[in-house]
Amino acid sequence: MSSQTNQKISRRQFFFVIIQTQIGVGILALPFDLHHTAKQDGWISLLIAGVLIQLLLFLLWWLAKRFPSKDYFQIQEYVLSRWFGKVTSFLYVIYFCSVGILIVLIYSRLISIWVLPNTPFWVLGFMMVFICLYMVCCSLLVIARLYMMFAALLIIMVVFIFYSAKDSKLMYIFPVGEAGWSNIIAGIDMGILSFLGFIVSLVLYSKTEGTAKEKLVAIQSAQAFVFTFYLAIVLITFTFFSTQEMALVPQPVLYMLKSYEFPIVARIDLFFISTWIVFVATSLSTYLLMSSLGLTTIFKSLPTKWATIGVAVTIFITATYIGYDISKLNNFNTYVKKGGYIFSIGLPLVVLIFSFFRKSPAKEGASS
Amino acid sequence: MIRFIICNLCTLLILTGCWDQRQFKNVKLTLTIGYDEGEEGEIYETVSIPTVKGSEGIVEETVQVLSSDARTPLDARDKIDQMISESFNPSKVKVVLIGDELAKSDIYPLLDNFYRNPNSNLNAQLTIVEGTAKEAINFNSTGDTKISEYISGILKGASSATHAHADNMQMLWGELIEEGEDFTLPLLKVDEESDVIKFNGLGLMREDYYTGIKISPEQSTLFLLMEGNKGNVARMTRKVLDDQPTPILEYITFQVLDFDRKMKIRPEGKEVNVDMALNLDIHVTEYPHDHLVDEKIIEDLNNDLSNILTEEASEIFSITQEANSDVFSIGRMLKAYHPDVWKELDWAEGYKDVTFNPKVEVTIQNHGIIN
Repeated sequence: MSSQTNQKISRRQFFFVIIQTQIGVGILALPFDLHHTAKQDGWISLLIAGVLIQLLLFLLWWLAKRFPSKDYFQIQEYVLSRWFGKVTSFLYVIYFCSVGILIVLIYSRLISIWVLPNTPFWVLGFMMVFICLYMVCCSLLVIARLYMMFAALLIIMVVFIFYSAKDSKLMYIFPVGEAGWSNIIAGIDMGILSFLGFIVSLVLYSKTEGTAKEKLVAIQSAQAFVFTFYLAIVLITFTFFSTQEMALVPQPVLYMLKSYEFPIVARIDLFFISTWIVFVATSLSTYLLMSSLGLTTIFKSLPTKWATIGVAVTIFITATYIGYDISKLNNFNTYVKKGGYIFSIGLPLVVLIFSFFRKSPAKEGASS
Repeated sequence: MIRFIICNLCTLLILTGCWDQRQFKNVKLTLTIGYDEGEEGEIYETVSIPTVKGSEGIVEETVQVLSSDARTPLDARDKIDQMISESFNPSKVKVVLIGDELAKSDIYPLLDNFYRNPNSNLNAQLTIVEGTAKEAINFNSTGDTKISEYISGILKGASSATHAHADNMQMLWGELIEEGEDFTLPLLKVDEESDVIKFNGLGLMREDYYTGIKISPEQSTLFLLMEGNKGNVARMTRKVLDDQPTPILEYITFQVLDFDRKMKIRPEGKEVNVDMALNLDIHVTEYPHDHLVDEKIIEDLNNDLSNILTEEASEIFSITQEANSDVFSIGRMLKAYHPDVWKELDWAEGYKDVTFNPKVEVTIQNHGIIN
């Protein structure tokens, strides 16, 4: 494994890794969440959030560009001094674990509601975590190749979603602006949360081939791709369901597909869920990967294998402890969402600002 | 040791079917469900359950029809479960029938369980039965077709002949709960004299109850065209002449080849005007007078039919206004495109005050293979 870890992934693979991390457990509920705060104007919120994230990604890229040979955890140690950097890195590991737990929680809950009502939580959780552990135990390069292959499944999703567009009524997103600007702005929050996962572009930056500019293109276009995909889903579900109806369907994408029946496939929603599971697994794997990467950077003597297994076990045990309990899930969800702002936006920006007081190692090397 | 653990884990993965398996042999699929009004606010649920018996070659199918009084639809399901050997599964329901008396009160509570449970088939058709649903489900046709197939066949035929919508339960849901948007449900009637179940028009719904007012089967084709829906075939027969030697000569039958509907809402202050322009390109399929080459005759027929249908369109608008059923989604369109006007209106009664200006324009495009 160690020989392969140094091998870098190509820019195209980098693109797919970002996409696969961002598109995950949230897509089923995304239109509902946006609608919840901003009513039928939720798509405007998404639009604004998409633009903001592009700007933010530029800043993150700027930070990564200054230290091209260091990964994000090493940058922290360098910029924030060794011990303080290690502490924040550890907090990151905890955050990535929490996101992993949240993914397992939401995933198992959904599967339980839609498909397997009698299956106990630990079985669903175990299968998901185990599969991801198996995937992450390979090298980054293998993971990236897998992700690229899985991206073909996106076509199935897109076809299903666009198929339902035939029954949509454009009338339902009018009048534009009815929710009022305050609600639209509140909706941006939901929009940004749906894009979380972009932090992977900062973490894996140094493990990608190419010049800084080329990498920026990969990052920005991945984000643009995810944004377009989300916007399509949101617009189609918003026009498919009436405004009142949207408030009643927490998983609008599935619900929309449930109303169709093809000659051989009676329940398209189940097909969609099966493809969706792959995207859940890829997101979870990335978080698993990032956590173990963080752990091995902090504790240099820790073998990657044990770090990954440790993280997976932690995720599984904590998720099983919370289980189907909705109030615990909601609490946990709120914390992780707040954490998202701190770890994906706040801290990287702080590191960026501090990095100006430090010499870039590249220049350091040049001057010596 | 590690290999042992891995083997164990793999077996565990294979075992996952155990909790949630639903085997066909353990359930009785019901294909038709009917609801009627029961006593003292209860509902009366009727289901038909086909059972296939025999295995080698000779397959015998028996249909069991069961009914029960209950508080709620799922309560009724429990009670019916207690009467049958296996448990009862509604995930393949094809038609849901509601008796007209029950439909006149809120129908949403009856449907909630379909929308709420992931196993239900939202592609089922919802229908109102004039009389009771029980009667329709108990109906024994001379043929050996199942009642579910018979009824869904009638509805399918009606929708392809542009008499009814093909909307399934999911499509109706939006219209059911959205403000400023109502819908119609197909009406069925058990005709005891001729021993058939027949399509008997479209019931106008207001919010979530049946108003009791309907669009007749003859008007339903024009009505659906006015809504912007056309099935495979849209055929109408209208009277265009008077004082003919025999009455059959007074009629023309035509098929709509193509249509174009434009609806324009013009709010003037608090008054709402709706202009509807409907252009029909038709194909004459029956007109025993011949002489359909003469441009003058064709022109006259075009004008006559346009006038007749325009008048009929006004009549249809006033029927929907009488029922206060906003089937043309005028309210929702107002809200979407004229939100200021919408805020000032009280739509509970507002639909009745809308002024409709229909204009139907008919053009004969061809007249079959004879003149």
